[in-house]
Amino acid sequence: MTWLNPVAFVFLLSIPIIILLHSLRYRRRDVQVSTLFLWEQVMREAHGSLGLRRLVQNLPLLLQLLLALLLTAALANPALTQSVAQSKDIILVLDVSASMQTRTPQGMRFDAARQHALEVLRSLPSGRQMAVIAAGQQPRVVTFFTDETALLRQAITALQPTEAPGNMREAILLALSFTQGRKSQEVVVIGDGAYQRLDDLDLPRSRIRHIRVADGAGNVGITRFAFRRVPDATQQYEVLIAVKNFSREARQAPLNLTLRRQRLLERQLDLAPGQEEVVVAELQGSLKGVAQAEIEVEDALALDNRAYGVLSATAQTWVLVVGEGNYFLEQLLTSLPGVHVNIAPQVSPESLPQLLEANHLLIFNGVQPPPLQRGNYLLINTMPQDERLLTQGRVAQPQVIDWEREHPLLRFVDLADLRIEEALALQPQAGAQSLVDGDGHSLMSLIEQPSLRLVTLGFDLMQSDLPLRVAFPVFIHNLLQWVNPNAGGSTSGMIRAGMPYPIFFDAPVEQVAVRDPRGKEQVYEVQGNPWIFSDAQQVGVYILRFGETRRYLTVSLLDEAESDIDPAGALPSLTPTAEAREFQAAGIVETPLWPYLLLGAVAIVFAEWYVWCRD
Amino acid sequence: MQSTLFDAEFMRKLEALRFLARKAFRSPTQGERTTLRRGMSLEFSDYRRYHAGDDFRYVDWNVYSRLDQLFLKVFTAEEDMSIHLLLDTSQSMQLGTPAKVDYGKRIAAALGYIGLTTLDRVGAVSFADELGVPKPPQRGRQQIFPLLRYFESLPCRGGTALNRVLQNYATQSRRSGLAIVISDLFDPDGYERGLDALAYNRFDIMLIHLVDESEIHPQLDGALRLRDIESDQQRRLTVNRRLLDLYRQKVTDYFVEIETFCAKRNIEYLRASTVVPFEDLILRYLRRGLFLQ
Repeated sequence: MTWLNPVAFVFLLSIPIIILLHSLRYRRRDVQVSTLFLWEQVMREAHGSLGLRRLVQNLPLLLQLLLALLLTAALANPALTQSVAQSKDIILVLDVSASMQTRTPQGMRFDAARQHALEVLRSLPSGRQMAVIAAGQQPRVVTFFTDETALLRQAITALQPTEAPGNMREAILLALSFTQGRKSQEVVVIGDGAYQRLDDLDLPRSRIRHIRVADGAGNVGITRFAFRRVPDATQQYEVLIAVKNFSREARQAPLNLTLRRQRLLERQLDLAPGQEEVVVAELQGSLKGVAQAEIEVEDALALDNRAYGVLSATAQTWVLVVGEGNYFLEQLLTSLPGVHVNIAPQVSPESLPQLLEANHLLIFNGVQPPPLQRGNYLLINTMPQDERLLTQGRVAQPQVIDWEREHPLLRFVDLADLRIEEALALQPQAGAQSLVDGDGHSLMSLIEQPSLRLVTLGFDLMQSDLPLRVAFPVFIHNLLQWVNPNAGGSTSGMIRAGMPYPIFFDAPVEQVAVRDPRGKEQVYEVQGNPWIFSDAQQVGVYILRFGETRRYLTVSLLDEAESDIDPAGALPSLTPTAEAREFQAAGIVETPLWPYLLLGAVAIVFAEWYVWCRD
Repeated sequence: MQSTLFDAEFMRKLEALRFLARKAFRSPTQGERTTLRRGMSLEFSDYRRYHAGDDFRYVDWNVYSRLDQLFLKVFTAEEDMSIHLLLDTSQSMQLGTPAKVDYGKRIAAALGYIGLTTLDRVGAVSFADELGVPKPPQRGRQQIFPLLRYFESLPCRGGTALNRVLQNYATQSRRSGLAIVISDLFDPDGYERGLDALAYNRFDIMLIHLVDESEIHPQLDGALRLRDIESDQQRRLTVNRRLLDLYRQKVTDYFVEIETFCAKRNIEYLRASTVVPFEDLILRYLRRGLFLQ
């Protein structure tokens, strides 16, 4: 039995008050009588015994005490908890993350998880429904609520673990959103506990049942892998590789780094339990292609024994600044690694094609450009000769109303309270887009077509405080990355499994053929530029081909939470309390008892009334 | 003649009353009351055979001449009657409205007055748990004032021991007579043996049972601490209607028990409530009960 409102026990304080009132009420009156023997006969006959007489004398008090107890108990809202056969709809969350590929003596963790899922399905009461959610990198609803067990069995059987990190947090929240707080629905999570920390979530444990599949232990994995070109050194790289021992015993892990079958690095790592070894080394030479880091160990999870990266030799970005010099702009461009800046006071329309071949970006600073048909441009305080972007004179001290925060050019750029002395009142027409809005005009516009990218900044940098803000270098970096995405650094082309990867095209592309690490090729329709490739679920090297271009995309696990296949601290937030465990185990029906107590209290009131009338 | 017990007008009404004696009493002195005992008055009663030693003066010689046998003429004896007034002065008698003891004193005084005016010998004694100082039976109107003062001066004290004091009085009294016992009879040890002792000693007994209405129909309610005025014992009690009904039944049973006892022993019994005006009790109820004429 549980008390749902134990605060009401404060009303027990009424008991001493009742006793006090009775002690005042029953202050006996002294009466002299001629004799007592008649009264004694009466008392003997009326009450039988002394104990019974005292009981009867105190009957009103006892009744009132009982009444107070009953009312207090009713207010405390007791409920009789009874174990009953469970009858709930189930939202099954099945972990399909990379760690579920852990090898076990019986096969793979996911096989055991699938068996548990099928058992849950078998125990689904008749008439109840089940939904299945695959907890991968992005939670996916495999089947919505249905009572068709054949369909559910088929869906569960067809599920396979991915090679990407899972996102159990989102999966559980998605499942809980299905329950909408109803007690008739239960979330059953089947997984190995190798999740991100869930401690910050206030999970309703009574509605979550966690079935842990924890066979298999002992893993060593690569948790970090990155390249960096040494500044001012064209053929010098730094590589960082972190290897961690997730086993409970010390392990030896021979580490190799190879590029096109050429061994670049070889280390012998001795790792204590829980120890992480970070290897940083310099690499020399003209390195280009897919690099592979590998630890040669026999452990339970093989996915994290390899990591891949791409080394690209072409990482230079050429910029031509045309027009009056700008100190801030030139200093910024020249300080960026891999960026080469040329300055020209004026360009002629005839020389423009050659300049476009030699430069990734042309910046016209306060200089009227020639008609622009193709190429990447930034126009500062000047207008293009293009009907898609007009101007309505100049405005003084314009205010930034809003800007496109999600556009690649303005990502992480904060333009709030930007001060501008004077600006062109840009009026984007059809085919042009306003990136920064002023009051009734645009302060930055974009004309984008497959062969032309034209960014127009409507004010002089020297007549604003933009160069003094953090937003300025961020914007310029975004611009350079946008016009030449391949110059983003040595780690371009490296992602973690399951993460989306944007691909920028220099020329219009309609289709991209992708060959996954297992050799399976699939063609994707390109919807925009950049195009987001989001099917990188396998660890290995993806080859993307479009037109004559061929690019490599390397995918690695690199997730410590997944590599830690025997976590110690990730589960407490899912561990049910004793009460919740009882609730989950058999299904608990709480029968409220307050109506009966209230009925008893009413009966006591009648009894009290009867005693009062009899007296 | 002034008394706090009753006034002169009431005394005049009392003078018209006299006691009815229901049995013959042996008295060493001749009085005005005709008894069943053969005596020496002028009123002829019967004949009886002569026995040796009889007084020849009472031989009826006319009968002897006709029948040749000796017969004596028997005359009715005229004796005075001793009236013993026994008044309960225990503490319980001071309860009631009016106090039972005051009511009892007036009854005793009135009966004593009647006795003295009819030339009966009237004695009095108070009792509680012991006999009080007695006033020996005396005759004559000159005893009226002393008798009234005797009653006026009686205090209420002590408990009640009816059996013991009546037994003592019966054995200590040198002449029997009419014993008028005035009491509330609230004695846990009973009254029976005391009355029996009086009857055994040839007392004609008149029992006047004084009760107060508050004892028959007590107006009590709620939580009480009852205190016995004589023993000072206490009983805590929550009185309710049911308990009161039971008490009344007990009182009624007690009265019936007394009446039955008295009827079996030929004891004149009168239950007198203090709510009945004293004059009515004397002039109407006692006459109706053939105590007085």
